[in-house]
Amino acid sequence: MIVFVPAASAETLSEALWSLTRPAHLRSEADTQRLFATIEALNGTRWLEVDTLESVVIHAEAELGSIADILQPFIHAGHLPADTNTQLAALIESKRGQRLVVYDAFPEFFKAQAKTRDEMITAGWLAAPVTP
Amino acid sequence: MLVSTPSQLVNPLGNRRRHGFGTGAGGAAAFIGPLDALIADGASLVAAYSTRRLRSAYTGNALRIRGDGTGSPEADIGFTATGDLDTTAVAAAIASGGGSNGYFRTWYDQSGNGRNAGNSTASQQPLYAAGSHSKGTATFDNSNDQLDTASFSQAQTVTVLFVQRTADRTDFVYPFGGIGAFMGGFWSTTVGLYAGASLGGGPIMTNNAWQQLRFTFAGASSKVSLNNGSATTGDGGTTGISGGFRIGNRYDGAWPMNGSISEVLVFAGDPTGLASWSAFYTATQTYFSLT
Repeated sequence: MIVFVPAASAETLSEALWSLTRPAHLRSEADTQRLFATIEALNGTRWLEVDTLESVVIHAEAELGSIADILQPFIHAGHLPADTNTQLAALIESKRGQRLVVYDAFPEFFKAQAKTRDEMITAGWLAAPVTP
Repeated sequence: MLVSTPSQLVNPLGNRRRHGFGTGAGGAAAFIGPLDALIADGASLVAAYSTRRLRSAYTGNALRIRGDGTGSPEADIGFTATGDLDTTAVAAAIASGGGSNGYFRTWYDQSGNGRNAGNSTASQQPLYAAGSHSKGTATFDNSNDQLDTASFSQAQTVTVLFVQRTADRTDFVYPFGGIGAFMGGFWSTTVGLYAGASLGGGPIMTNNAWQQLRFTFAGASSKVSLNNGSATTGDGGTTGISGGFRIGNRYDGAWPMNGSISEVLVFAGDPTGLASWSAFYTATQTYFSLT
């Protein structure tokens, strides 16, 4: 299932999520660079287009890295628990070499804001597809 | 000292042989691509993607595949001496990380124009499968899979040949199109095309069968055809390809492909009137088990 999750730094987050399975220093320019697609809604907001079943094998050298930087303002604002990054780092550590369904690790704060495509269209944030 | 005379360097059968490769004087196989004769007849390739080697002049890879195992390894995959996809290399690439699935990172353009179609986002990459014809195929998820080229333009007339298989011919699908402006082929029970005007009511595909669709974008004389059958003709509008070319979806991502694709050929003009067209279609029909 595809859901859209609001993320002002959608591209950076998508690349950081991909780095969990293939860290940046191991990638070439010809390689895959991001995990999820990103879109700009009609109101100008950025969203991550998340396949809720997408899974990756966590790399032995994976680090929370820029994911922690992206989450930190939400922690400061009180939207996420203070130990969010610590918990995520522990999860990554425990999953090294194992497959992780990425959306399962998303904080509930973001899951609560996720929208389906139909919900995005109803809200006027995506155009309704037309047929010729 | 070995000296080759000009006559030894020329294939005495030219490039008209219908099979994939011949045997040279020394017993070495000389590959002849299925598009060689059509190009010699004057066909103009804009872009060409396939799981088979299409031209003797093309010596590059077929595709770049990403495995879903540890480290998400990627590898370029070439062809065998007979021009088939090197499926042994595909299996090795996927297995190298202990994975079980492979995905198309890049489908290399065999036209010589360097218009590779790819996607650097994992969740939008189509799944590799051998296909019921065992020739290799890209399977699109009916959600957001798509392969895009870099920007280029091609004015009409444009002909797109498309070897595909779908389980649901009634689902509304745009399996390809230009990226910068609305033009592309579609099906929804019947096959049609749109390039500023809609040409519908074309042939009806068969579910779960490998078939070749042909879309000719030529203004009021546009046409669509299935398996080289009689064409449905009408006004499809005059929009050409701009902003690049997308395989697997429409320019706006609204109507995704719901099946598998093994070959996409884009020509400037219409190659069907060329002398070698029938031989090319017959060879394609045999190769991909078109029914």
